[in-house]
Amino acid sequence: MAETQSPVDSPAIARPGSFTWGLVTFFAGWLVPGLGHALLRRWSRALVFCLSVAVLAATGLWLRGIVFGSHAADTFELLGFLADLGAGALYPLARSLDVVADVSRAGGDYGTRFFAAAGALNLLCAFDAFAIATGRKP
Amino acid sequence: MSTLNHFAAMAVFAAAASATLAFQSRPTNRERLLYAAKTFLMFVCGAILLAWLLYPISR
Repeated sequence: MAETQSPVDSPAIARPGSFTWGLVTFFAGWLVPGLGHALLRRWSRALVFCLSVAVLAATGLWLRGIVFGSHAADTFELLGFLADLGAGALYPLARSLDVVADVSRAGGDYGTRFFAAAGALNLLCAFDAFAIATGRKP
Repeated sequence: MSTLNHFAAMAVFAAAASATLAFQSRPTNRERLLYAAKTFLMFVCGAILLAWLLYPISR
């Protein structure tokens, strides 16, 4: 009788400590803030990262900041788009809300930075999940 | 629509960023709390100090 291969022995299946598992947690963490750490059962980190990124993104929209689209006119807009994209699923959600940006006031300019900071922090969190999943960080 | 004043916006940013950085870089809850408090104060005090330094050239 052929011996069945357990998931732990299979190189094709993501398992804790593997590079593939790291990529899974990275993309999960990027897509939904905190999900990467939730998959790793780091509940407190998952909650704090999810709340922090969501609060920053929501405040950015509330202050009527710009959420950059993919058609960048210059390098700064391109960098803004890349930072905004870091917010994962919050990015298309924010774009779909059609918030009218108003950067004629300082508050609107702050809002633009808030959303970009949410994206940058979310990317940091996703990299943190990757490092934990691959065993590079305890 | 009501909006945040500048100080409140800065405090929200400082709180979110310092909590995230603390949970990423410190292993125990006590260390995280101390690191977050220190980072938060550095954000806020640094911004106030910078604001006063820039005040003379803003007029």
